[in-house]
Amino acid sequence: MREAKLQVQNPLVEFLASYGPQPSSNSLYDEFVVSEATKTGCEPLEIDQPLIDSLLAELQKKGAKCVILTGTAGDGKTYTARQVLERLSGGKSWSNADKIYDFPKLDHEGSRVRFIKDLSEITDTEKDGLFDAVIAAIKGEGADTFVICVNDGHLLQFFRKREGGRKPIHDRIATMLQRDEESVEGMNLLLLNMSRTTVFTIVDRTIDAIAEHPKWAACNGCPALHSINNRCPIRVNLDVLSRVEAGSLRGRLKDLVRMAAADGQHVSIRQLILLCVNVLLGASKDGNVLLDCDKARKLAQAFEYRYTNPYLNAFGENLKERERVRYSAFSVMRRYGIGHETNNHFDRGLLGDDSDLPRDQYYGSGIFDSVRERYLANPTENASDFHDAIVNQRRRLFFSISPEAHAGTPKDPWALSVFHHGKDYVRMSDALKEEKPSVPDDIRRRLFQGINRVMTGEMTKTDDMIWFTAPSGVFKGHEMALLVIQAGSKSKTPAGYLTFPGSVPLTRAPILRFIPGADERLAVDLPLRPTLLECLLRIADGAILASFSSECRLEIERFQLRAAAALRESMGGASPDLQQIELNGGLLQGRSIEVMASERDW
Amino acid sequence: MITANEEHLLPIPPGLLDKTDMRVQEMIHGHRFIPEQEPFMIVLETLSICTGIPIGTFTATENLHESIEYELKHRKKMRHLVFQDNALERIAADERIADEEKWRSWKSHAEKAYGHVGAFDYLDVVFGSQIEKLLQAVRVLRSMEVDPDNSRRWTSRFLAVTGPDLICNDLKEDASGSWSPDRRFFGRGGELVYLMLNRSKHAPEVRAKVDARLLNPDDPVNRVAKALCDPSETFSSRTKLGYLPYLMQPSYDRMAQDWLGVLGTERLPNGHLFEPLFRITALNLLVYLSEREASETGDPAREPIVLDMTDGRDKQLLQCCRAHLNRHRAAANRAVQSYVDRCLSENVHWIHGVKKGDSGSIRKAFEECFDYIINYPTIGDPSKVKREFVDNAISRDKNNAFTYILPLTKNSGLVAARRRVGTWFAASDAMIFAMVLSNVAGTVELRDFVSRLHDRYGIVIGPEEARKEFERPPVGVASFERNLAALEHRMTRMSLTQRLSDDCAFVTNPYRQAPHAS
Repeated sequence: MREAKLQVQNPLVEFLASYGPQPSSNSLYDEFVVSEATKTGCEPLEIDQPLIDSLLAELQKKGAKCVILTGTAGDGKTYTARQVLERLSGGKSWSNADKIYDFPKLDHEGSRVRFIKDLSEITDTEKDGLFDAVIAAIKGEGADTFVICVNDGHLLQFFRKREGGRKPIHDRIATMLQRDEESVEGMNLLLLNMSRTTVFTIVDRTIDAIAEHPKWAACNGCPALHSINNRCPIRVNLDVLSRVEAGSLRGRLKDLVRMAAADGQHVSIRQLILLCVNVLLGASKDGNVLLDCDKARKLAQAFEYRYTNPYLNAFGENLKERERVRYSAFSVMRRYGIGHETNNHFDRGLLGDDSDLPRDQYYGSGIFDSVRERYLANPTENASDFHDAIVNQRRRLFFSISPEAHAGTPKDPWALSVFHHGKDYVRMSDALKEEKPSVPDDIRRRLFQGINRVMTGEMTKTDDMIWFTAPSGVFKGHEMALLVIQAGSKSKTPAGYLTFPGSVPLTRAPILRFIPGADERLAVDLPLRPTLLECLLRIADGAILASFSSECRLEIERFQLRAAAALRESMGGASPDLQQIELNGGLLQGRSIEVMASERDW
Repeated sequence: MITANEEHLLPIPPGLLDKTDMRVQEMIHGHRFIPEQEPFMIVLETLSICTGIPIGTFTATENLHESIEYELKHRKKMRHLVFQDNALERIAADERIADEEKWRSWKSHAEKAYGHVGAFDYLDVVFGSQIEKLLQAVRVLRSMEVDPDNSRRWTSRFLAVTGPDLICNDLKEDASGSWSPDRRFFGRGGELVYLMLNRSKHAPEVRAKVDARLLNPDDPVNRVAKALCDPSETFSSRTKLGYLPYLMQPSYDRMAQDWLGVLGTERLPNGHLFEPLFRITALNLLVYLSEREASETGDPAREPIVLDMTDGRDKQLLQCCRAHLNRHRAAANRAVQSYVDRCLSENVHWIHGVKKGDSGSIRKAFEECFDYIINYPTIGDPSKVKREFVDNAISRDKNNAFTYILPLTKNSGLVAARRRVGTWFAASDAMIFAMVLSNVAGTVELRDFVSRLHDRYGIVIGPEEARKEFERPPVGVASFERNLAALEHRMTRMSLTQRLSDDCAFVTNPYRQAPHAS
């Protein structure tokens, strides 16, 4: 008993746990975290938010714009507003009881910056009272400036319920939200949808905020910190989280988060922190969800690292199914099916203890060797245990191997996920971010080949251009693909060509754009979401279209239809001459249909 | 309830209903709907009329029903080439026949099969006697066949319509080989839709859109059909349009607005308009029927459509949707009962007959009210006669809304059917797409979209609409919440919704969006 009391207890562990998957994470999250920080004496996590500076600058301007911060719960709306206020006021902040906090502007007499912490938390009568002043601020006519935190649905409702007549402000804000516009002419408004401004650096900033927290110093003196063979699992996991090389958890997490965002699955900052905390502290022994210092020490002494595996914690495996589904971070991580794809190269390596595979004292051989030995001795009896263990090892490998070093080889870690072409997606997205954006040739060719196969229904090899066909749309009909136009680069097919526009944020899908030469304003976009790209590249590899979701099929069809309509429109309503498509030696060939051609040539 | 519509009940054009066994449903919703006419055939029939007599050509007035006779083109040779010929593919592929011989060889086969020497001479010039070119054209048209896997007789096989020459009417062939119109599949449902559009206040716009998007003679596929038709073939038949009783109904304008919605999606190629169009037409017909029924029975409102989006996963909701489908069908029978009651109660012969026990008056009452001859010799209890008549009316094969509602909704994607579960209101993906095309011009919030479906068609999907429709919702609010979430999930899969955050989603009509500005 006396000995236990002498053990080092780092308050940071308890504090970080308050960010983790716990029932206490509620709607007043920001306040909750602030009070936990006071209780444990730890500085709250300071995650650099680039928005804060620009908002501060805006509010200090004369005639500052009305600021509305929208987004999903956990995007840091209140956090951002509080940071802005603290910097504006030199440290002053609101109390938990304040719904609206008024900060007097220095340059204008009597005018204020009114911070509304959460518009949905205030009563209808209070909202009625605010409405006119908000409208005036948006029109640039009011004395006060507002900083309003609210989710978008509630924001629209606020205007819909109160604005009379044709609801011009409501409609304009709805359009801005939909088009992702931050400001428009004629409105003194800065509308920031924090769900759509996911920035690529967020993973790094979150991990750094955790890993570089000054309170880790409080571990000093703890024997578990310095143990060579029985190191504290929290610190082992912190090492895993902190690694920055290409083959690291951080590296893959960055890919996964941006791919999810490009597929329309946004991960909020709160969820990301929760995920990182769970990687660090997750525990699956005796119903414990998160580690504390005592539990960590005990598990280390018993070398029971199988209960603290960060590569499992990343998927919320330490939680019960019914708890896990409440956290979107884990559903995002699990969509990739990491570890569940069997793979000859890696499985053989794991089974034969291949020295080429990355090793890990704690989460590799330390927990896997005994399971493997038992399995090799008696496969039937130990198959189930071994299956679970090998899934976990595959997950570790996924987070430990550099895809750059092994792209396109059997050693590509993406082969351990359902996104076999994950590396291609990342390469393509990165290449479009370059100063001279372009898509790597090999990816472009396979992409075109996949699209051609979907569009024409032929197992073609043609990959230099896209053969746009026109699906007939006949009800229950038997489709016959007719060629509308072949589109390649601008110089090759000026009548209708393709581009990959650059400067797409890394958290958005790269775009394939079809431009009818006669009128560039009629361009049609196909967002190459990771799921769609995966589907198309697999089709290029020889997979059959029917084995993929109808979703991808629909997206291609929509692209075809809209491209055909745009081409037609660019030709002043005339129909392009359609051609029959034939396959010759694997290559597509067109044959004109004379009776179909219009008589305009005469 | 005798409604305000009563004054707009139009007289029946002379001779039009002479062949019907009674006039009951005819006077409630019109003449007529038959279960064999699938919703897609309804729109094909409507378009067939439009080729000869564009919507808005004749107008009805308060005392005068449109009296329209229209032409049904046969296009026998084209239909022979597309649906009947079996020699073309074979001969074109036969390597034993020299290329220059193929044309002649095929023609002699085809003439024999068609039964007329020289029948296909007109093709010599059009295709320069090259069999490959003819084959190509025939293949194009064959790929345009609607519902090709159904084994209907070849005179009842249809092409998708994007131009006037693609219209295939429903015809029959007699022993001598000559063709005449048949009502097996084109049962006049399309005529009623035509009349609804004709009487809507949007008739001129609908006409313009139909002409531009579905009946454009310059459409590329239409050119193929035209090339395969014998220009000298003039065979056609004439027929008269059916009876639509009321001059004005809110359903007519709603139907027309939905046609304009679908046909106004300028970024959807013409060939893709037909399917959403017939689906939304079917939904409008269901709402029309339920509005007419409510008007006859005096119910304060039409029956709502509680629409399952969860694919039957929510069992309570499924039960509810099934019950509501049955309510629609029951309302059809109640409307018949009300109509018969009302007509007889206002008829002097009936009043007299009941009072005096006079069979002659009773017979006369039925003749006058329903054009119905009581063909048994003695009449006992008049109320029993009435009961039997109502039973008769609600069990007729044709033009009986009670039996028609099921095929109408099932074949349009508004009702799902499963063994051991039965049938219930549930929307297919294609129906959801049709509702978006006809109801969303650009972008609206999901909640507004769902609310619009409720306002216009009485469709109940989410909790808000359930609250509006019912004093006490038939199933828990949680079921409606799940239902709405399921709708959104499906629409997201079809790229029709865009979710901005956990509290806000937009519905977009992808074929009407402003072009990308580059």
